[in-house]
Amino acid sequence: MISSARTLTGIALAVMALSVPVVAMAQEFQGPVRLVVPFAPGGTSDILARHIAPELSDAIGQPVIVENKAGAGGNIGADFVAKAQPNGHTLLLSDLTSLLTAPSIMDSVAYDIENDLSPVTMVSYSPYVLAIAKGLPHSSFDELVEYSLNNPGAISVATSGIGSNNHITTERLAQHFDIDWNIIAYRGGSDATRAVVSEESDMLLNGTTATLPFALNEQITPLAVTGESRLEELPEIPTFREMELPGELDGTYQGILVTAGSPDAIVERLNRELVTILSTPDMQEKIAQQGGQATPSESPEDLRVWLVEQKEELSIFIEEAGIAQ
Amino acid sequence: MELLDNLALGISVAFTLENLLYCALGVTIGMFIGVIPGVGHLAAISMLLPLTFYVPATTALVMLAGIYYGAQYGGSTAAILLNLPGTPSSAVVCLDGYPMAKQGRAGVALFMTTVASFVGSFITVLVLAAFAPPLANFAVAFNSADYFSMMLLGLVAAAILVQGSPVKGIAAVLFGLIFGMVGTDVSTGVQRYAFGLTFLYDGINIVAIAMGIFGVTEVIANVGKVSSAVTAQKITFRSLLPTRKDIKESIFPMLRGTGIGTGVGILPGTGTSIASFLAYAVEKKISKTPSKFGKGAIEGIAAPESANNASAQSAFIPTLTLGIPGDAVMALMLGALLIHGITPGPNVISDNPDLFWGLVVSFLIGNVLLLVLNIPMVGLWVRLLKVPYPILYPSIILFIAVGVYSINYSSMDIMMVAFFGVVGVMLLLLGFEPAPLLLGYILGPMIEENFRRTMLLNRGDMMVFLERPVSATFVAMTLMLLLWTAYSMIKSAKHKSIEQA
Amino acid sequence: MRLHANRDFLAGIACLLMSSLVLWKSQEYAFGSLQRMGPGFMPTMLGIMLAICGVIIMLFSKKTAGTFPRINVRALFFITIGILTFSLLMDRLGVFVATILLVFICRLSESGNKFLSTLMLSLALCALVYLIFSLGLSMPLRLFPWSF
Repeated sequence: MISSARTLTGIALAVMALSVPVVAMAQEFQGPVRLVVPFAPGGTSDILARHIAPELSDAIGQPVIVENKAGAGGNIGADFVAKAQPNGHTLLLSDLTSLLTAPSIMDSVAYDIENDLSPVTMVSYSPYVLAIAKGLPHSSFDELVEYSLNNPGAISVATSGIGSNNHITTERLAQHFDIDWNIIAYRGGSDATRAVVSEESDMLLNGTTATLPFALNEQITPLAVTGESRLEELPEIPTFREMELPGELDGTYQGILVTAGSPDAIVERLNRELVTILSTPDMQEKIAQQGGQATPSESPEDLRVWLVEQKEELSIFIEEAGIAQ
Repeated sequence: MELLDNLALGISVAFTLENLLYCALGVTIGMFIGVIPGVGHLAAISMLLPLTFYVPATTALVMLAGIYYGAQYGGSTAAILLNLPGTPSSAVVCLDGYPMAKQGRAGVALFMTTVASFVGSFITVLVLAAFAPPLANFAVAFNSADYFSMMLLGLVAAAILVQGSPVKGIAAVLFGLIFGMVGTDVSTGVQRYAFGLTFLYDGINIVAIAMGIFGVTEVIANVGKVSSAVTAQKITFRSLLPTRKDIKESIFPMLRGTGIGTGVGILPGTGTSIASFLAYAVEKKISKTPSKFGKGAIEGIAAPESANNASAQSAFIPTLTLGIPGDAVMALMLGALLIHGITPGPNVISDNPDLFWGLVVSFLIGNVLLLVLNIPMVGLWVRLLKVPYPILYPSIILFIAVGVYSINYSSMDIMMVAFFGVVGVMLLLLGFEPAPLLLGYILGPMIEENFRRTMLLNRGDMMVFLERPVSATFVAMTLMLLLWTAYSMIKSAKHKSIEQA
Repeated sequence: MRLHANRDFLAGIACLLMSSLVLWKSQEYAFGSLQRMGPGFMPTMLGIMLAICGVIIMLFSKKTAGTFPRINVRALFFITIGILTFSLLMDRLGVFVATILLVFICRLSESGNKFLSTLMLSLALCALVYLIFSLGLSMPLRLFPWSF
């Protein structure tokens, strides 16, 4: 008995010893890793990618190359990753909302985010600031709502493009209060900010990097912010949550995905390494400088759940509000 | 006095060994990148961005900016020698630069574009140092009605560019406007004329159009006809230098070009091409001998080249003083600042005076360096013309293809070059000019966007274009130009009929 | 190239063809109103203007038409095919194979080529592309059919 138990233990140990290198092999990287950014260099996703790449490279012992494949609102880069070899060596770092809204907004999107891409981890969250042109007399969001209700179409809202997340949040607010806002699409966030600074348009919802410097310089008037808590720089400005507004957690979510069908061991390893990287004070500081918070996902599954929920919610809203053509 | 203090600060920052080195490195890289047609400075700067992570923010920006304005110097080289514009602004230089090369005056053209680049840049940097904040506030006050009226003036400029039949010229502009509509409509998100092709959602790549209708078409027209790109001629040191007459004829065009370039450049989103086109149109309009244009007029290269460089420098005004980038390259510069923990915005100058003034002084150093580096290169580039055509043309085609690919890493863009090569041949066959088409393409989206935006904001009231002073000025200028053009057309028609009688 | 219709008459036809393509497609896009212009507003306007230009060009074509320039059809064909081949192959087989093919196809534009000189040129260009783009600008180019 004893001897057979020993034999069994021995065999078990031998199997384990043999299987360790196998597991280790499965999660080793065989060559350079591409980190595809589907937007032009210099944007939020790009800067994050360039901060993360060297750290990830140290962690996995292979070069990590940032590649910008911009175009069609992030869809060209996402499509590229969706169609890459499913070996976990091609990653996508992108604004997650624009990936989710693409199928509802665009005529033809050649990939499916749920089936062709597989989540690794969330990277960061940046809240929005709702601000108005400095020439407007309103000093609170309630005043703005009251004025908007009494003067339909008088307030023009600059968005960074049709179907952009800030456009959807704007529509959500308008629907909530039954307001008629004159929504004007601009070519990107900085063009929209310029329009409100120059008092061409009256209001905008935009990321903190684009709005905070102007708000602090009193060139635009902030009225509300999204996110869990007030901003350190604008302690007087209430959150959507305090005012019980819809879209309280809207903002920019950045995340990393990989070609679907990549080996689970590789995806798990990527998740582990990235969570470690994103949890270092140095990286959190770098993300904070961009007006964001590092928000790594516990597991790839966490991000998958989040994506499915968001997709559901967004597509229902886009259809109801008639944003899609 | 404050300016002197600031400049002293800038000198103390820019003249450190590290900053001088990175400035020299940046402008040298820029100079070579500019010469390779198609390789945009955007691609180059984004590729070199990681290099700047390990140096201070000022040093990083000194180098990246150096690449940007350095590339403006070389942009006209391929345009003059091979009719190969890497950017739409150098397409303007093709109009008179390439004929000059054909006449054996390539060296003179290259020499003058270098001088014009220097004049445009240097003066604009001085303007930037003295007036950046007030100019930036002016730029922000520009709204969509003003933009629209300015673009309208640009359209009339397009009509002036036309050398042959005016109706066919207008048709060429319309072709350009139509190509400009391809892609996602900014105001509604609808994909127009994309035929379900994802790579067309952002519109047709402008470099693919410019390379196709200028460069590829030129190669097709020349293959088998010529033994080298330009009739072989002796290259002597003399033949490279402009004559006294050349210099005299270029001084005022350069200054006017600089003025136009500085003005256009401070407006975010207009880019360097509109400045060059406008400068060319102005020279042709005020010239006593407009018929010289398109046949190697030196004014036709001096003015747009200084306008191009001036606007590249003044584009830093809204970027640095407000944090509002005018184009993708400027956005990338702001990205570089963010990576170094500096949030771009209206407080950048007051919070980081050493950054701003160090950069301004480095611009001055960089431009002097570029002048010194570029002049000796002229002789070298001209020798390129001696390469036998059967060797040269496959190389041109290859560089076009790889260059266009480098912009988005998209092989679809290379296909678009082939398509526009065929379009260019058709245009040549039917007698439509490529330059007005290109200008139409650039202006189209801006005209439409700003017009629609103005109508949305003003409930369809057209009077707004006359109520705003800036807009009204542009409308008045447009009308005057139109009347003048009509008047001179009638006059020349009468003249002709008298001659015939 | 001899054609019965003159050059400007054909130019007018080209305008009309383009205009009808634009107008036909523009029906899919909402026209909107002056205050709220739809995506079809501008295409419709441009299409109509181009049609008018086309008609004017055709009407005066007898007076205005010049002669056709000679077009090297062979060069047009091979250079276009050369560029297309390059664009199709560079991502799949790498830039070196694509370069060699591009050079060989482009050189078919002229008669009497020597194989050896073309090969030398294409190899030299491969080296240049590698040095300038891959090494110098560190552009992510796929080099060989078997590389990453």
